[in-house]
Amino acid sequence: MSQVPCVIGFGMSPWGSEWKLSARDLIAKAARETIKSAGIGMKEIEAIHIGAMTTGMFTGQENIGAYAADAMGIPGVPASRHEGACASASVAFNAACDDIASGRHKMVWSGGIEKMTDVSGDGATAALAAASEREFEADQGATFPLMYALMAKSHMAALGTTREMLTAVAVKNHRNASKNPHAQFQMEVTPKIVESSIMVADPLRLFDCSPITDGSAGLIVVSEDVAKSLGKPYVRVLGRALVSDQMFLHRRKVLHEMPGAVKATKHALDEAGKKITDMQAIELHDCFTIAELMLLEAMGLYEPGKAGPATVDGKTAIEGESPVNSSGGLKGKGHPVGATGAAQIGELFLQLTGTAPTERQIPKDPTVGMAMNVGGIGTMCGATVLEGVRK
Amino acid sequence: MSETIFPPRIKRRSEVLYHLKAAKFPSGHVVYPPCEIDPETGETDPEYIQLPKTGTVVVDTVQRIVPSWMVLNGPYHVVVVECDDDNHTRLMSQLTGADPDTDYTGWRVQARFRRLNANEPEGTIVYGFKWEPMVGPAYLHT
Repeated sequence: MSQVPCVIGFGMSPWGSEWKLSARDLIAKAARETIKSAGIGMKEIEAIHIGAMTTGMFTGQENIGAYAADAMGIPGVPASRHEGACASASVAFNAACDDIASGRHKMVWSGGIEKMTDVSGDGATAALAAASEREFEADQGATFPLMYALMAKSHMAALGTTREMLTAVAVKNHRNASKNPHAQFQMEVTPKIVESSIMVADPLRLFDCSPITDGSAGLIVVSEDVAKSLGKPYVRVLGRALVSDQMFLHRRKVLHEMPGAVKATKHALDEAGKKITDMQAIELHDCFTIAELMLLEAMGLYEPGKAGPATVDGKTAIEGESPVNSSGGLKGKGHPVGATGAAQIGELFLQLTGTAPTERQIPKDPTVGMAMNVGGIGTMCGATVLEGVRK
Repeated sequence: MSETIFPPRIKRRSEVLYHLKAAKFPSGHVVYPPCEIDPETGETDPEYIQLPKTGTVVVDTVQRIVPSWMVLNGPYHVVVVECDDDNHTRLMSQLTGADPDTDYTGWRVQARFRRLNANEPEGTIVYGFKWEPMVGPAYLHT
């Protein structure tokens, strides 16, 4: 009989420009925090699934499954690396859930890693561009900021999205990050700071873009009988989906829509038996401010063109009707690409079990939430619906 | 980045980049760049065609922070263009001869053969098409 996968622990390494820490150090720190959170020993972990987008280009290190097992002091366990661009950790999480659901394992570590500051900013741009269609997009000069800029221009022209709406996303997520001790940018920003920052690709400015981040995050995934036996709060994985989409932006019928996110949301919600309006906490992939608006619309929480006004009106703030990115999102918390999906699920673990720090706990004490982790321009979308079980 | 483009990669793309080659599937659907299997319909066995070298800009942006492999160009436009074929086939490319402070969305453009970027290992210069805004009286009725 299929088991319901549950998450019993979450941990992060420091996130930021962690020059003194190698990828090995980051994984070890995240793993240590994860087992502390779960109240288990490292040797109880039966398998490792780790997301890593392009460690080869960032650090020269590959063979990341074995590398992680070694860093965690448990060589000998099955250990595999998963890649789905910035959704790599969601791909890993789904594999971990499959391990639990099938009964193959009872306790699995699922996480992610990216060590991005060993290369220059230019080198990081090149490594990230590997997630686009390399031969015909990146080589034409299409960086990720540029492609999201094209989507933003399309969204603005078709739906009336404004500069003020993009700014509101950045201001909100930085405000949330200021309450997150693990965030890369624990500071608030004003609209003036956002709107006077340097232009990267029109209309996206520096403060519309998520940063380059070193970091790792981990989750302990177990069967529900194990979760119950520990007598601590946990979250149940009610629904999950991984959906791929066409690589080329120009082949998308509507440039500012993300069909992959639409499908992933539907599949995950159907599996969970929930509606999007049931979600009381959402962590989503704000790699650029426009991405948050596009995803809120793709997920069906707002009609096309309505996510921007809702953000300006404070509806997606922690105290709003639909709190989004209470962690600070990628924008404020940071975006170590291979690890981001694990941290999104981790934030929901904290919120849904009521164990988030008081200053950023969503006041309505949510019990059901959704993570949306996106790779590339929406070419890989991982959606996860979680339900908290509080003790 | 520069170490990732080698002559074989340039060679295999040259026909596509030099001639705007696309795949036309039995249903009539045209896909650029050409491929063996239609990503939308799953059809196979395309014929290869050349796209018209004129079109209209659907959306335009300017990359202001220029990566080293594009440094040849300074701030540069990248546009999505809808070609003047019956399928309105779209493709993404750079714009040449363009003012960085002008938004070319809606402009008519024509394909020009140009040096593409600064990423030229082993002495190989990478050529291909860029789009050029069609301006002036000669283009009023095109």
